[in-house]
Amino acid sequence: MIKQLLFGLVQLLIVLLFAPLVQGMIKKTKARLQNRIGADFVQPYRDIFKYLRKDAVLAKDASWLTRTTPYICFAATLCVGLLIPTLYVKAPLGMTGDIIVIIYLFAVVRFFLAITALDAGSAFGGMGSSREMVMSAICEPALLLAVISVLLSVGTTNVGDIVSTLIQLDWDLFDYGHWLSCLAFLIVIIAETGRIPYDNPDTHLELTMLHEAMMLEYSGRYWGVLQWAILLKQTILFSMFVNLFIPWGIAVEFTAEALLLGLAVYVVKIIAVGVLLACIETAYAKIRIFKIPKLLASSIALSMLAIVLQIAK
Amino acid sequence: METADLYLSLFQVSLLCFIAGGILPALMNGKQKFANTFANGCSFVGGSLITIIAGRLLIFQDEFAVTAWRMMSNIVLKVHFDTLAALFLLVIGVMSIVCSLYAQGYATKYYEKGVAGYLGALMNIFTLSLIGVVGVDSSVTFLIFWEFMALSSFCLVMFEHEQAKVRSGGYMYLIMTHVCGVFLSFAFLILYVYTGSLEFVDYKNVGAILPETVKSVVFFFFFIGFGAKMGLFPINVWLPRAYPVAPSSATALMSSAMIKTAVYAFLRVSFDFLGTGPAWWGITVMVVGTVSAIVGIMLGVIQNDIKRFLAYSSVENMGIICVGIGASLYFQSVDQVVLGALAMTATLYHVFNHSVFKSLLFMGAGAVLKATGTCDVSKLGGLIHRMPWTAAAFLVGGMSLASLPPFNGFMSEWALLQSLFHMIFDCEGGAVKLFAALVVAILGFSGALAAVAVVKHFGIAFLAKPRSEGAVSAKEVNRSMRLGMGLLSILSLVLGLYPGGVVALTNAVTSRYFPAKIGGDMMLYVPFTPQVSQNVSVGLIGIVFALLLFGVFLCIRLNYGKSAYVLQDTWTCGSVHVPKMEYTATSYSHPILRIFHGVLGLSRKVTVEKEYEYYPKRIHHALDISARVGDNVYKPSIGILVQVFKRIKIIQSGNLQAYLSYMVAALILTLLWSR
Repeated sequence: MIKQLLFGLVQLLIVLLFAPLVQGMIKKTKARLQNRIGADFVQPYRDIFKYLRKDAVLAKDASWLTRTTPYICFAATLCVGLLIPTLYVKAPLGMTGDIIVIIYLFAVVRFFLAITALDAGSAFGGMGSSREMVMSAICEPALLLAVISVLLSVGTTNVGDIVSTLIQLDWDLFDYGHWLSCLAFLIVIIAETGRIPYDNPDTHLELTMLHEAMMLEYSGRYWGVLQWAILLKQTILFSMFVNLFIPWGIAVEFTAEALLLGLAVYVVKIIAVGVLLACIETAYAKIRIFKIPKLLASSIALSMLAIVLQIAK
Repeated sequence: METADLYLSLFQVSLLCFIAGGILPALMNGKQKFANTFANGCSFVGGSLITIIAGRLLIFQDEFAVTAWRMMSNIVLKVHFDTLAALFLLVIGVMSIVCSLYAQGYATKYYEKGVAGYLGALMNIFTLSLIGVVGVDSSVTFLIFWEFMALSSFCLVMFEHEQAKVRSGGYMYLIMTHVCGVFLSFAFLILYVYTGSLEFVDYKNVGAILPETVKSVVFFFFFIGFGAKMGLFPINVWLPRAYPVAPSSATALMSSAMIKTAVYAFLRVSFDFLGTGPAWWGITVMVVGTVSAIVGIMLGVIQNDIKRFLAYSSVENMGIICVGIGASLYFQSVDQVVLGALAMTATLYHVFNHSVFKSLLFMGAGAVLKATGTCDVSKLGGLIHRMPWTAAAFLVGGMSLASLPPFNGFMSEWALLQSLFHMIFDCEGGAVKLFAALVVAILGFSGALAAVAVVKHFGIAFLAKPRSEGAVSAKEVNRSMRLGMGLLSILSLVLGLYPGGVVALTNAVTSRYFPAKIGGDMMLYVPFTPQVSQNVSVGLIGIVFALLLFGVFLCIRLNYGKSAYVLQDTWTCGSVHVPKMEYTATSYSHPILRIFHGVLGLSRKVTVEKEYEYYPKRIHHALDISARVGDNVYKPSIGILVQVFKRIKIIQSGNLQAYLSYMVAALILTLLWSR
């Protein structure tokens, strides 16, 4: 028991340290696909540690929210990291929370980001906050339905049980329901991580941006902590996708070999998802902001179809 | 026997407090300060005693009955508190304590006008009527107290009757309450016809002797009657008009306790009287609840007035409660006892939670109103610097409203979602599964929209630069108001972190209808089957969160030293940052309007005052959402009613002889009837 708890902490640390690397890989892949050399894989680490060392500039009208939000977001995302299985099928906090808690913890992160975006009184912050909240509100049913379409074959909301049941299921390559929900969930993941075609993660000061506009007023260590939290959130969302759709290879037994194998498979899977998203980002352009609901509606429709197929089975 | 005496004396003293508090302050209105303090003191003492009674009844699963007055041979004024009534009595008691603390500070606003004593007196009378509604156990006395409650709350709504807006809201409330109250009278009449009794005791399991159709008719008459009081769609129009205009302390009590009495009454008639019904009852109730939730919050998010938003959000929350009731009715009819118990626990938990966070938010809005003179967020801003306590309380309430952990709103949302998820997994029938999945999706959507609304109202009103004189000169409110809000904030956190306290109370009620038991201490524990269970503990996650927060902070502090920052103006491309540059409340929710313009019935009017073609002097921009229901359903039906009443009006000729002949005719008819 103590061993497992300690391992849970180690696992969290691994995910935490791994998160910037995923971003580095995505950026590198994108750069190579666009015929650029691109920055090193480790550039995100350099950025974060540079920001952490810097002094900050804050807005005069800003309140304590600007100073606490990065920490709250970081800690809440870490909590999700403790709730979700990554290398080993049992998450350290698995017995106290389920997939609903995970969804609502992410909602806490978003809530604080959006509220603090209004703190400095800049129009950009307000615009980003408004758009992010509204779009993510539409994203919420898409996410829930995609989750339901997978959970129908499992019958529980406990993430650890979901993964261990999914591994044992007989997989049919021509099970269209599963493919549909996979596609639906992928759209949700793109939206939640703020990537093309939903949002462009590389721009600042572009009127179409959603997510980045909320974070213009952070600087110094606050920005560093927040940046790390967002990278961590991205990695955890990828882990969620991996858990629900490609769960094989995760360590089921608590032995050294299984865990090492689990680690290797996990790293490969997450990077593969990242590369897939990088390819999508290169192949598509960002869509107009008021077309986004249609994209999410298509995700909802796919999930509904998947649910119908699952029920009919 | 001793406990019964204890209950009796506590109950008598508390009633005495409320009656004294309801009469004397109105007589002593000349001495404003004394009258106010006396009234709130009475509420406080009475509320505390009521809380003690209700808590004791629930913990020991006791019952308490007392007969007060034999009005006529079979109309007896008596109260009977079982665990279901005690649960709602507890809500009334706690809320009347907190509201009296808050009102003590809030009513200082009315000293100048010299009406604070009347407000205090009305509040006491109102609380008395609430206790009556949950306590009495015969149909006639229930209807009398229901009416008493409607009238006393009408007086509270009309308290600032000098303003036309207040009067129109008040009259609309009065009319809607009565139109829908008719359904209640009919439903009780039908029950009387079939049982020949007015007593609730004889209605118990009356569903077994009623024919199937009559049963459904009675059920839906009750649903319409009580649904109107809950503010369910489409009979929700009165709620957002009446709530915002009442004094904030009264609104807090109305939104936390009054609409809960409708929940109480609906639970009473559906579970106690009619018993297990057909599955489609539950499904219908769920549909109405889901539609109310989504319509309520969608209209709420586009409001710019905090109180109106909160009123619309009540519609949403009542919808959620209704989904819970519908789900437990459905689970009861398909014999899923664990899920039924879970859904009912979620419902009752949400009843507590909504009482706590909604009155907290209304108190926060009242504090803003008192400090700045307006609740219109587009005229506010920057209040977090001037009113830090109010801002913190509002943030807590808002997070709870958006059902975010670790606050209480999350726990009931979790339990409800969990029961709906298992409706998908465990119930028979593809259509039901798909339906439940849709309900989950819509509840998720409305929850996320609630978060949008909270961010909008908190962010615009409390953060950044003030947008008006009132907001610049705002001061933190007095101590008693802060005390009221602080207590509720703490309660909100405690109910979220420690579900065991609530579950112990709700189990006393759910065990009456479902043999299964939901466990709870630090965790909320749902045993689906002896092997499979699901538990959740925000408390544990909260502790881990706090440790992580502290750890991260410490780590960075140790590695990089104390945080150093300089304060600068927000960058505005070189010009001076003025409030006009901030994002406005209307634009914050504009994406919603734009995306759902088809649903909301958005009309947009832009008039340009031209001087030069390309540089207009002034642009007027007006948005109106005369939501489809308002124009297409209500206006025509009001028109029809007016036409009908004009026809009927001819009997009211003003001629004395005519009136006398009516009386004679009525007398003759009565004599013939009773012969």
